[in-house]
Amino acid sequence: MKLRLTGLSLLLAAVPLLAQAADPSATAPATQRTAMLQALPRGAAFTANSQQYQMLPSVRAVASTPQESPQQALAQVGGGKVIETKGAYVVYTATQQGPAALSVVSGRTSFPTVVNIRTNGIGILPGTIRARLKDPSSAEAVASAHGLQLVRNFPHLQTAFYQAASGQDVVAAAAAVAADPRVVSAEPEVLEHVKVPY
Amino acid sequence: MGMGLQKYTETGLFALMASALLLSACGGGGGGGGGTGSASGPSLVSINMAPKNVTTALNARVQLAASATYSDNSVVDITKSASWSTNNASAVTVSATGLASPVVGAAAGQSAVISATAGGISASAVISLSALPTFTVATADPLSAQQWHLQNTGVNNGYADTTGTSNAAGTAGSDLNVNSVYSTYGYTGYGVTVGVVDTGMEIGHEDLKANVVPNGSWNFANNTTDPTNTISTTGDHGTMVSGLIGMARNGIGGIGVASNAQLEGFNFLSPAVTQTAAIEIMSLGGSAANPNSSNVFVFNQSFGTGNTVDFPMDPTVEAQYASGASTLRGGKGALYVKAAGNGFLNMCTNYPGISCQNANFDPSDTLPYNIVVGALNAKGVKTDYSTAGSAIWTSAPGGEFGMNLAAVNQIGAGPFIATAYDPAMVTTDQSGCLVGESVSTQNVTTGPFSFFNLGGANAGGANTNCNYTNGMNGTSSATPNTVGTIALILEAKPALTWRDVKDILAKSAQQVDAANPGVTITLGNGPYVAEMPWITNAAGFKFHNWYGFGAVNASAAVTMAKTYVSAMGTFANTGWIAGTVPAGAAATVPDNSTVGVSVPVTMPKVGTSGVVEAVQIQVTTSATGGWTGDLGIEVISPSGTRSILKNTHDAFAGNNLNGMVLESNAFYGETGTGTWTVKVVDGWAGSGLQTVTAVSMRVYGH
Repeated sequence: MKLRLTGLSLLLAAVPLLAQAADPSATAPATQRTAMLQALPRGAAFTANSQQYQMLPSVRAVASTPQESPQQALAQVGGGKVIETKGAYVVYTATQQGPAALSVVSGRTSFPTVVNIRTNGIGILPGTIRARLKDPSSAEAVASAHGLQLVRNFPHLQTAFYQAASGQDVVAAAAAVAADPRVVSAEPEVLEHVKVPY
Repeated sequence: MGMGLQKYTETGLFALMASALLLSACGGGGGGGGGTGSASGPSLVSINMAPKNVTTALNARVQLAASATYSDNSVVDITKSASWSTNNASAVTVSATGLASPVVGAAAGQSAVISATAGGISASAVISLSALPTFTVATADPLSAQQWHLQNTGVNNGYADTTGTSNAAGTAGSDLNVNSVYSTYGYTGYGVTVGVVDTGMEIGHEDLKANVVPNGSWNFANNTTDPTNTISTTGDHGTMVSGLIGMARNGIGGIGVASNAQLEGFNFLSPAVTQTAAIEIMSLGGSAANPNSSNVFVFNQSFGTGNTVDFPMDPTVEAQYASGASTLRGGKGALYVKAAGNGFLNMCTNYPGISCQNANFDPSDTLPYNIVVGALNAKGVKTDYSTAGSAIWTSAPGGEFGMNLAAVNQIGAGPFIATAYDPAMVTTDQSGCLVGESVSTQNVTTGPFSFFNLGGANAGGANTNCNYTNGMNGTSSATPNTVGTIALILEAKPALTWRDVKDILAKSAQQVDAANPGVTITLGNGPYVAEMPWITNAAGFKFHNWYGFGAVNASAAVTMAKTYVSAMGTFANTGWIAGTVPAGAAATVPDNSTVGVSVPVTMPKVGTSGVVEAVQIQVTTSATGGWTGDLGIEVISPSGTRSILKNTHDAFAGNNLNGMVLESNAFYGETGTGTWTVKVVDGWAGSGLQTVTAVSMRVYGH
């Protein structure tokens, strides 16, 4: 449990508010966030993990180190405005719109992002593609055919994961893989809910 | 035959042996190889083994050494290159590097002859097995008496912080009840491999390294077998978790619950690792090489999403859990143990007694493969922060915040609530005083403000080198304490399946906080039970959303395991069965009312016996300005048992439910055939209305 003081601070703040309070749906931050998201340019739509997503071409994400503030992490990739953090990731508005592809800036990977149309949650595209294969032995061949790197083939799950190259449009690549006759289904992987230590 | 032996290195010996094999295959061999007649260099004369005859406990490995003596009287260590064998593999096995390991299930008095062979010459040693040694927590290691979760005397109030302490007293006996496991049986988790899926693991730590599986861990950031966290300098969560499981009983530091369990670390949570599904699967048993996680018996997952919105489980990761539970550990299934969360008080304007976060908010918590764990404090009741929910299976010590008032005042931090000064956990920390909790404890915004963590002469010199902390807490701590207990159970009876272990934990759990009244709130038309007190279901199991079946009771569990006869049958599920949602306006949930919308679901018999092990539901709503935090969702079984799967007034966000899976363990052991009821209540006035559009249920059991 690393956020021990966060919990305590919230507890202290909550003590005077134990009586039923206003419904949280009307809170200003939620409203502001919704407005902010609605103002952002949208790109291609696709489905992953049964969720509908839409690209956010002007929003990127970068991983920060424990010693960095979000702003310090952004400075490493050319700056921007912090929208939120997801675990070690800093989600930010970039200075210019980018494709649905990973990029490397000063040795640090910048990830494209998406928005969950239903929840308004922002997701990160790590550049990986999940493909369910008709025959797991075709995993390498599928990678070669689409210019992807095979990250790992899990024959017992009939699923292979591929990595798109830096600059390669991962949404388009996933669509191409999905159309491959050796593939049952394929979709870009989206990190919408990052796991954190408890 | 000219062997060409020029160097006495182990590499040279491998070359020698390869040459011998080649010549033999060509018909030119003779004399058994081994360079005994080399024309160009000294020949192998004899092999010596040390120790030659040794008696070892049933849970104590012996590292044997072999040395070769050559004709020029030179001696070369051939431990890593000799060929090792045993004449009694049911008693003692031996690794390729001469590590002799008693076999789990072997008996005292058995013995084995271990041989090392090279160049056609052999030497041997006799390993005789003796009974498991017993010990007590109080004297196991220097810090073990301060590890209240192992043996809470109620008077060790310093809890490893004996200078200027203001930590509150605990309650004697509020612990894992594990001391008698050590003092009666001597079990220490021997033969059980635990995978710690976390931020890292300091595999060279003085109190872990003896139990770390050589080359068994994995660092996904650099694809090596060393997941030591070099990124975080203010504490490594995975190292702290690992210590609670497997600190060695070695005369230094403290002890883990299973001080002889084998540890493997997988740094899935490292900030340097992108959390893809592939890496998660590789961490959870889905990979047999680079890394090998398929040899893990018990997975520790002290993490979660902290989520507050409806979202589905990753289907490929879910498939890995199912695969691991059916195929690993020789088909008996790996155990997956997971933290419930630390969000009881966070994320919402807390309504007294109702958890802001629900264990059901994290989709992986709702899988029957995961044993979800809540956290207890040193008084034996739920910690302030421990997330509640019907997906919880059991509870274990997790501790409060372990702050020292004098340390808080010294640094000018605080003030904090009273429980901040209640004990946290003593465990391993990043080694040295320049990293880890010794650093973070000096940070006014992080804490945890402890003289013990500062090391040196502080706290009576109990942590001189800053290799330990007394500030670990969370359901992250409760989880490894449960994992350690499971390791003891599996040592007692290795043949248990994953469901047997769950069954034992449920049956042996100890009820705590028995008078907990639950929470009753007043809605527009009258009182509504928004959180249940302890219930006793139709199968006789006691259950509470704060505690699951109760506190882990290691002594009872291990004792039960020794004579346990499985009656769990084949694991089955009913598939998703749709309920009958009322038509029209009757599907709209009345605002601020106990009436709710009730949906009957007729369930077929699960498996061959119809016995329930877990119940999952999916609820979908449409909303007119509604808010899912308003909704309370409960399930009533054919036997009349009521379980709340989602509390009204919680932190769930969003305007409608989209079929996220919720799970309840409250019906464990009941007969599931018949009509169930899923009831949705809106317990908060205003903010629009929700209409139930679909309800479905799936029952797991046998």
